[in-house]
Amino acid sequence: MRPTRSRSLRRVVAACGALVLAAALQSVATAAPTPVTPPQMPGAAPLFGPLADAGVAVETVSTLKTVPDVAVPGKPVTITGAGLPKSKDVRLVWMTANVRWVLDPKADSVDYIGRKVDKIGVALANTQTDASGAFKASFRVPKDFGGLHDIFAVVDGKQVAKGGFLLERTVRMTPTRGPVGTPIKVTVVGMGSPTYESVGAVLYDNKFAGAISANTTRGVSVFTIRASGGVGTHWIEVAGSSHTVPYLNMQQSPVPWTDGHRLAFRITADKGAPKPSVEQPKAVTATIAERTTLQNANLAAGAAASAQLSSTSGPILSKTTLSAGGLSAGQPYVVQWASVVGNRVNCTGQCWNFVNEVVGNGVAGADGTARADIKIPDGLGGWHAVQVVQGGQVKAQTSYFVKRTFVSIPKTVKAGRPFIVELKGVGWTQLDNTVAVTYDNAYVGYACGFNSNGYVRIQLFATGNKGTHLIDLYPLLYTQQPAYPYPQLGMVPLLGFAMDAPGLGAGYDLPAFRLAIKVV
Amino acid sequence: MRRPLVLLGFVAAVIALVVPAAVQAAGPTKLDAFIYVDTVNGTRPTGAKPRPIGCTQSNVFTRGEQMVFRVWGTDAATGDVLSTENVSDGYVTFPGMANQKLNWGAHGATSNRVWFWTAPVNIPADFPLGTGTARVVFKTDDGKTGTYDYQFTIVPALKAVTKPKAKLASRAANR
Repeated sequence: MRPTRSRSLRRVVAACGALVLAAALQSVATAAPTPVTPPQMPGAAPLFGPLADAGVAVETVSTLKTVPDVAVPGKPVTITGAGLPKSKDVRLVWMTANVRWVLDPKADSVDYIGRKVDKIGVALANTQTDASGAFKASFRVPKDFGGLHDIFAVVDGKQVAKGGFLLERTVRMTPTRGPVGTPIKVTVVGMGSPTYESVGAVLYDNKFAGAISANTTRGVSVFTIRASGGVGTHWIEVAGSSHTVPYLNMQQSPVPWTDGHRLAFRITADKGAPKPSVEQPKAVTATIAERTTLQNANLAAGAAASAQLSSTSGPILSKTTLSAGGLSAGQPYVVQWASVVGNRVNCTGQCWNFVNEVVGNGVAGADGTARADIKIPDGLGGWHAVQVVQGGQVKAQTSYFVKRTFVSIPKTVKAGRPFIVELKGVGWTQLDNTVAVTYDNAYVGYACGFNSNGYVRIQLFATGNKGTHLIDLYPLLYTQQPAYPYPQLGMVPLLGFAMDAPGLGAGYDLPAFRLAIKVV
Repeated sequence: MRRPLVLLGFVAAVIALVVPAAVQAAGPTKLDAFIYVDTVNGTRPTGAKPRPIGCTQSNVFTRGEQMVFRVWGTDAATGDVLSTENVSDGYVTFPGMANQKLNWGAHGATSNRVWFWTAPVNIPADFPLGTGTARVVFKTDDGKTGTYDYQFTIVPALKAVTKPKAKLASRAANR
């Protein structure tokens, strides 16, 4: 039957309305950014004082004198005010921020969204004005984010005076000389909380090595790179950056104090290629349980069973034992390993799917318990759900983290010849699907493990003079497919992975691999 | 089957129309005057080295520099430009200072003179680092008031970065 005009119109209206409704519902259902509470990080200073209300601004505000007003943490500072309300209690409030990474943990992945900055005031000192309305107080520069900090004198809830302070950025390294491959520990203090002060770009002899941050470590970044190149002096620069690479005229920017710090390292000898090694991130306790892969999803309604693993992380092919309780007594069960198959390349829709692999089975005891030895499959790394299934229903599940592992690299390669570096257990989320590769501290590219089920063969070429050349593999934040607005640190080596990385709060222990070849 | 579909579409369309209208209902506050404010760097700072280019817009200054407020205003009801013809008082409140009087005058090249209000503020050598807020205030002859809060940042004069001990390449190249 041919539709009439009014019937067609109704259909159009209905379709448009449905689209509007669908769009509205989708906007609620899509990305759920989750600020991640920073884990307790060894070496990171806690907030130095109690939160304090900074009061309300007033039209006529006095100024405070802070001497010195540019210094590093720990230095004594004197702050004075005059012309203020007489004989009044004064609260001095230091303005700073708390910074958290933001993730979107989904059932089948984890997306890296960025970071969230919450401005806060911290009580610096309490004092009183004298009969003339003046005061003098002192404090030590707190261990805090670098950059500018406003200081308010608050009287009766009002900002009666305003001061300011610049917490300086410093960069130190140790040692300053040694043979090729010497690990160089670089400590940066005073990285800022605002976007354009929160990233440092690291150059080695003007080659981009990667980026650092100090979002969850209150401005402190400690990282290691290795001495590469010939005998002689080499320059390491920690440059100001907004997102990844150096901002080369930072001195003309509104944040000139983030400009580069340059340090010299002297290579004394080439004593041969150092053995492969792994640098793990700091051991911390995850702060969120929503990791990935069906965590707390797909459980049968009313399921009261529980499951635990004797170990919750390890490389592929390692073994763990599952213990379950609360199952249907005397009924068969299977243990499923949940993973995904697919990739992000040219992804425009549903680009990967869940798959299950049976890794154990048996019959639940008369008390409803079960025990199964599990061998971790040779596949994708990262967090996987381990599910106990009875009668086609998921009765219990827990999770296991598959660590990425180094497999091989040749010891010697002829100049100009290709060679392969192999890894296994590379994951698929935006936190762990990729490794960033540097060659003699120059970022050369990345390698992804999603489409190859966790097995990565990195194709490289041996270049440079005869002798030792270093290959370092770092964690990388994958910021494509899907891409979110304004994320920092995407697609480059995350040199500060050991202390400040978005995955640490979600239990993603992602190491750096320190490798080398001898070019002959 | 068709009726539920039509109903669904109608409800959704109503939601789509009503929600934005509800948001708009709050509306902005009615103001007496429209005010535009910016700041430029004065060409002859009293306590700092002049920048290579003067009178460029910026809201970031170092101590010793001169922050020049440039202000244009319009009476919201009449459309009249705020000038000495209709303004009884115009000034800038600046932290720690007496009010800075706004001056009405012509600026720019002789062939392209533009009239606006200005107030130069010399940033004291001990002015606090960090963000600050200045308030531009106009009072008109007929009792209207206009204000604009303008935020600026005071940064320290550029400190030398950690310099390599090697000779600067540019010096060698220029010899």
